[in-house]
Amino acid sequence: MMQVIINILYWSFIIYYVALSLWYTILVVLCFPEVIRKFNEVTYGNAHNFIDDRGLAAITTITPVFNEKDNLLDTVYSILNSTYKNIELILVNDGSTDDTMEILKKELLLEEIPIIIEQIVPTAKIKHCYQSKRFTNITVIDKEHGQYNCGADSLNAGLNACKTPLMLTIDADTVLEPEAITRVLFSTLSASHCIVASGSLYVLNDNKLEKGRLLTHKLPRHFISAVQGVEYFRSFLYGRAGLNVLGGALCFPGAFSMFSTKVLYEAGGFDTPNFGYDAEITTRIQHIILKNKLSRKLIHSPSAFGWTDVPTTLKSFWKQRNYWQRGMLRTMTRHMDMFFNPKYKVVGLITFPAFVLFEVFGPVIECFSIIFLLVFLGIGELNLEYIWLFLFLAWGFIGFLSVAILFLNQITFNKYKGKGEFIKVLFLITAEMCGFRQYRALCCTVGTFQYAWNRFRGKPL
Amino acid sequence: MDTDYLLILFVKIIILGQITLIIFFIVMMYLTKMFFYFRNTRDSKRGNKIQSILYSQLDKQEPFSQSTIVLLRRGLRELLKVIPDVKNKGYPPAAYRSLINQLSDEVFKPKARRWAYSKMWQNRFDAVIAYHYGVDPQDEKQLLKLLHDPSILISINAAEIVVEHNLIKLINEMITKFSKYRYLEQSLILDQLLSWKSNISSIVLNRLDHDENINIRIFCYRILTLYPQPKIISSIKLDLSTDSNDLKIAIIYYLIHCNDDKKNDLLYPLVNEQDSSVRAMLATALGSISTNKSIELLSLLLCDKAWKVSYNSACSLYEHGATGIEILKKQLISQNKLAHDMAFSVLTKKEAL
Repeated sequence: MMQVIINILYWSFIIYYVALSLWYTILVVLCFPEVIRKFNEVTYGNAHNFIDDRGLAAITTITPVFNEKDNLLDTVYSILNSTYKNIELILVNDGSTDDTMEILKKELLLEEIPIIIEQIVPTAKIKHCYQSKRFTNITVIDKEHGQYNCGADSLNAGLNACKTPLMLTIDADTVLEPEAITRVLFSTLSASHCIVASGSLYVLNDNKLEKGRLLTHKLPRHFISAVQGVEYFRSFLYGRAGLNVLGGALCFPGAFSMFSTKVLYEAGGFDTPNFGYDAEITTRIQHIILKNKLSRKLIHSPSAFGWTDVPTTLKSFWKQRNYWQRGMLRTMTRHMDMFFNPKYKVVGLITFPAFVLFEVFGPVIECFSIIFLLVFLGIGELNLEYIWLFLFLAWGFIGFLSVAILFLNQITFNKYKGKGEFIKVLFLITAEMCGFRQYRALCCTVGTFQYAWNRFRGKPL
Repeated sequence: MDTDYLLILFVKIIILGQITLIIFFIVMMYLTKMFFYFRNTRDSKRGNKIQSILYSQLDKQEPFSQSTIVLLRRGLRELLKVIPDVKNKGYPPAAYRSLINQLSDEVFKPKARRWAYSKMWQNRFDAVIAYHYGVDPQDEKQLLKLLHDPSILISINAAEIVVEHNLIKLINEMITKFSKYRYLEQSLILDQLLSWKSNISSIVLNRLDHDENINIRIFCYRILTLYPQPKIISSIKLDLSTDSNDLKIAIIYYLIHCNDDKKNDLLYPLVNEQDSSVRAMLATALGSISTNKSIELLSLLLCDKAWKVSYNSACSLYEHGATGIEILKKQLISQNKLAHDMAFSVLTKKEAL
């Protein structure tokens, strides 16, 4: 009996990892033409003549702010430095307890204006509205802290105040490259009826900034943030770009995504209790357009770049991944009727199941496979050679993915140009296997159980 | 046991495959680095050579030799890059024009005819840029293909060429194509049309006379806003009686740009429209009509329940000057909270308080 259980588990894990590898390999193959095409368009095309020079579509950027006194001004200046100038900035202070508001008042010379925001999507109470005397296109909304302690409530407040047909969500710890907004707008206009477009994110930590301008483009020096740097690099360059071909990704980053304002209203705004509100709104919009058979598109723009801060300590990393995991689980359960549902076409049959099996439950299965591997080893059912082989297999696969993406990076946008960057990436993927990856799998597994327990107690996530 | 052995063998083969791929990509990285270096050097040399050929041609005013034509065709991309520099070099316009005509006949058109059908985006883009320097009647087929290109960058450039060369059939195709696009892309095209400085209003008016498709009619009205329209076109009354709110909005926007006094009688009844976006556009339009009636309607629309209608009305009232500002100030003691807030907001923003 024991042997049968072991065999079932053993083969289940093998089948799962083969499917996972196949999925990622497909994405790598699909992303190459997609990224190269975008690169050619923005490098050799005259998109800037049409977009920057005209500035035809007013865009509102919405930045939720909670205790961000160190990063916020760089974010604001990076938006103001953008080559695209027809921009309104809305900063939503979510009841910061540090001196964020004072810094804003001093730097932007804020002046109170009447609150004339229609509450289309319900939010926490808005206390004050300010307009900058220094930059007249900046509005600051000062609101009470949202009930669920996440940025969705602030984004909804910004959405209510947004008067332009397109809005861009930008996190307060993210700086944009000067061409980023032009390029994401160009992606929106390029695809017929594109209603959501996201940009690519790289890790900002340890890079030099001067008033919102990025002076260096390097992988972070510190191990925890550098590993995340490689993870982001892979995830945005091949993951989301490859998914463009398969109906669009289901998780666009709230740190840098453009939405049609009308679509957000129709979808009912961001999911306030959800820490993964960005993934949820993307999935919800996909769900709505496929259910109603609308010819709308969600596009990831691999040519628009933002740089964002990531956790630098194990504790903050745990907290972030735990939140994300619970958010993704809430997203998954709310849209489970798409799972292997042919009515939702390629998204229902491939993209959403892959999201559930490989993104949401991937780390959990990885954690369990490690536990079983150790248990089998302990009871003498596996020899050490097996473990080494499988570890080597995993390393080889991540190595292949990373090197393939480094190659793609080199022939296109070439963001990490330094000579040492390539060696650093190889070192990081090796080091990641020796504990950090397992740590990430563990925190997602704990997050999953925590979610189940909280739901059992009637909490949203 | 056999299964285990086979599995281990399989895993080992996969690992070997992965290591091979890793090595392959590492080698490729170095090879592409070398290739890029080589390509950049070659292109830069070719660009310099082409530039000197063009300067020498401008000085001598002689036809290109066959070998030069081959070289220029091979380096079309570099040629397209250097032409703006040559243009700004200060040669007499006639000499420059003669050079461009020669290049267009010998190099650009032959190459563009072939590349218009290429599967590579870059080739199609170069083809459309090459057509900027001249088009023959026989190129309509290629231009039509480029106009319908899936890349908006190529289709916009193609649209620019057909408008500049006044190719009526293709302009009609362009109207049909872009009428299917959404508002944002249409705005991009309209903005371009304005900068191309070619008046296509007669083609558009003709289209309005014959085409009943709502999307095409909307786009046509939007195009007409670009050109001064002293008289209202006859079909407006009929179009305003349709159920399409988008068409009504396009017409109201068109009427803002129209100088005919009859437009007031067409606009005033729209105050009773059910759709708030139509009323919101009407509120904007009334800002440009200086009559007592329009001020009266704006005071009514200021108290509208729809946020956007009220906001636009407040802005329009402000545009009317002292009378409008007086009405806004009266709203400051009004019981209607939305109207009060809008009036207060607009007056504060415009510093009229």
